[in-house]
Amino acid sequence: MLNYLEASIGRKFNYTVTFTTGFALCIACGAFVLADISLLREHMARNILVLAKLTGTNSSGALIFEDKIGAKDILMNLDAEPHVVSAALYTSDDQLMVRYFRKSTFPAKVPERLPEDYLGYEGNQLIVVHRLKFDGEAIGGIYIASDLKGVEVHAYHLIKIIAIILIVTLIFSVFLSTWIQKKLVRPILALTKLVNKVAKDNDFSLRATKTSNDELGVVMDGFNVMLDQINHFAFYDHLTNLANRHTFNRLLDSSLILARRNKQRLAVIFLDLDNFKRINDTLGHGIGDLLLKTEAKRLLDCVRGSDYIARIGSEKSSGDRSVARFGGDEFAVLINDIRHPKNAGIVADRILAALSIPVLLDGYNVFTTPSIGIAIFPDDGEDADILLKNADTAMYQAKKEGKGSFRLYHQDMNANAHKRLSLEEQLRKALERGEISLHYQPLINGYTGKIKGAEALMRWENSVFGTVSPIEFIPIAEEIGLITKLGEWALLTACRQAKYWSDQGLKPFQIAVNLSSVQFHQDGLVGIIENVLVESGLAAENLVLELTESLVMKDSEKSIGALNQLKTMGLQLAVDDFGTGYSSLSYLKRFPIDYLKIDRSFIKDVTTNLEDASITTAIITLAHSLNLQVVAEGVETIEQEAFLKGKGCDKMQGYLYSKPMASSQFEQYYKAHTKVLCKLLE
Amino acid sequence: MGVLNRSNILLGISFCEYLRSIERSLLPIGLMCVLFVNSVPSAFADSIRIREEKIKVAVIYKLLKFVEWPEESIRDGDSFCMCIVGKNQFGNTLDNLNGQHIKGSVVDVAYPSSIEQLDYCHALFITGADDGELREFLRQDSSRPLLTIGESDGFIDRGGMIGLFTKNNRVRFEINVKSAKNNGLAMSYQLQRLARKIIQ
Repeated sequence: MLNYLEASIGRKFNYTVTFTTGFALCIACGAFVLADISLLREHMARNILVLAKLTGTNSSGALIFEDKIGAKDILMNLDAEPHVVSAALYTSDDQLMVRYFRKSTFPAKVPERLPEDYLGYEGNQLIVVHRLKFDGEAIGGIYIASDLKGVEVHAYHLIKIIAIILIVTLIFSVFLSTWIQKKLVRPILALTKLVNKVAKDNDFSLRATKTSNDELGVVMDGFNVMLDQINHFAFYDHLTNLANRHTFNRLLDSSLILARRNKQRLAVIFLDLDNFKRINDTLGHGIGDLLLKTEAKRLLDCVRGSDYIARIGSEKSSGDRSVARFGGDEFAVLINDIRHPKNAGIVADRILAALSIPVLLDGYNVFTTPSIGIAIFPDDGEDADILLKNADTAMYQAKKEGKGSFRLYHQDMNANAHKRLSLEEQLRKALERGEISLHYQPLINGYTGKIKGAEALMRWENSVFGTVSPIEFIPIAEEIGLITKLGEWALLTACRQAKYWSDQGLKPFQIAVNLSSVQFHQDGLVGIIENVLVESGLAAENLVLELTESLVMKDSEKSIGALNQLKTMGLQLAVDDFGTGYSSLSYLKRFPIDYLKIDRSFIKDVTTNLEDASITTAIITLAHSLNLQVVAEGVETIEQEAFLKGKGCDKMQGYLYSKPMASSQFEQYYKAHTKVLCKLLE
Repeated sequence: MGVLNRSNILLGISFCEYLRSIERSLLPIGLMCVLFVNSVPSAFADSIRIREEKIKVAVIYKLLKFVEWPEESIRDGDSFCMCIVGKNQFGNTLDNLNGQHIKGSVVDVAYPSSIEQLDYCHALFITGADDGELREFLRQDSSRPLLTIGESDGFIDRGGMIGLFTKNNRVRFEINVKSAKNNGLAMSYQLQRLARKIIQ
């Protein structure tokens, strides 16, 4: 009873039915008993009235003739009615004539005078008073009192019987309800079992079988719908409605089993959207999501349309599962039973074409291309993990070699990937380990031949890879977000060095440091440079920041602002590799630059190639007319030097003078060079 | 109602009790009454007799209630003819029956002078100790439902239906049910119970 709420449904049902039945039965039986007893009492009252009337009529002679003995005799007849307790006859003037008592109840009382007509229960007796008439005249009356033992006995027996019936019925109803509840409760229990199984096994493919059309049937339907939805969510990507990674992996596993058994090839195609991050950042995540949806649909249509769709057994088109979104902007496609690896390439081509079409999203015309990597079973791997990894590696290679293309996996790629991964790892620790150093290439004054300063260049000496050139590690640093830290370090180190050399007497020493795009566009650049100057103690005029053309030209308004700030501080600004980028000449006059550095490609053939010579000359003239100084990079021969000197090039830099050197070597070089010069001048 | 009211009948039923009630106040006289009931001076004896007569009349009146006449003989609205014959010593007492109600009819007391006049009677009270010329009459059964009441000895033996007598200072009666039945009359069993003697 106490555990009603905790009990199982079946038991609850049993309790309820039994309780209800019991309750109803008790009420019914109680009412029945009451009604029966009430009827009995009525009956008894009627009977006693009849008795009174009969006896009274019988006594009319005795009453009229005042025959006491006769009257007494008549009353004695009441012995026959065992419940009569006492009786009396009265004469016509209401006087008591004769009385009667049942022996055992003596001395019961009778009224001394005849009362008014009465029929009813007084205390524990049934009383009747009846006035008698004979031939229209009142001749007296009769009084009879009877006990209620009859009722009591009857009630006792009745209740006994009713109780037995009640108990028997209750027991029967318990059995009946137990039997019925089994039938009713069974579907609920089945549903419970199903729920438990789904939860335990995480198997969302199970469904409940509907057994009735009542509310339980509705629940089952609802439950099945929910399972459908969960199934969908569990196995499909919400945004694109493609399969999710988990589902794809399962499909891949089962496809591999089949492919192994049937000795077939299959292809795993891995792709992502180039520059997706940039699109997301610039146009917002809403557009990003729309783009993903569009490309996903295109991908699906494209794959479905091809002849090589995965179908396994008699399942409904698992083409739905053979295209998946792996997360972010990465997608995977599984193609079963391909005859030759190059067929996968055909599919990849189609995908390329389909996904590269510009998309109109929310008013923006968005361009994107996929980078695709393909791995073939069993050629490129026997197992799902390896195939996926290799497809990913191939995709990365495609990216590296110029996006918007596909690559079939090749063993060597792995080495590259490995190497790249390793390089990344090493680079992360490089700064801490002090593997990064600055080398300095001297800048020579074009007129005097004196050393005016140096350009600082980063070098990396790694235990594993040896010397790694900046061309290799700078892009990696940019990609892994290390460039800012490196750049700051380089800046600080260079400034300190310059200050040191200045203090050492190496004349006012100008140091040139390259600034990467990322560094230039970061917030707080000015602040950082200020800090560096303060920390190093270097005067701002002694610092030259070298920026590439493209860097400067991009976001020109903002760039101008930043450059102006830097100029205000007193820095010198140089445009590196001038002539090779997008340069817009109109910007030149707006940008607060001090130097133009002519790219080495022009200097290389300046003495042998007329065009190079013309261009170089033109640059020098242009710069001078704008009050800018010119630095020539990559001067290697005396002829080049002579030519440049002749054109009035302000500064020169190159192997003719020196390769970039470590600081100690530079000092030595400086001393030696100055001595020579002094000697020359002497 | 005069003589025949309730209290009187009550007192009358046992005139012995009545006498006794007088005796209480007149004890010696009462004793003498009991002892010398027959030798009392005639005036006193007369008064006793009158009492007895009154009682008999009351009894007769009550008796009538317990006899059933056939339907045709008493109709609603008709009068009930109570005939008196014989040496009438009852005087006016019987007249008191006049106007009483019997079975929905009004009693009419009559004193027929011939047997033929008896045709109209419902009940006939033959007074006196001797039936006289009606002896023969009594023995006959006729189709005429006529209740015969007498106070002579052996009245019912001679064919009379109800015989009154005094015993132990009480007026009692004996009945001849057979005779009544033969004349189309029915006697209530109550009479049978109360009667001293019954001829079936």
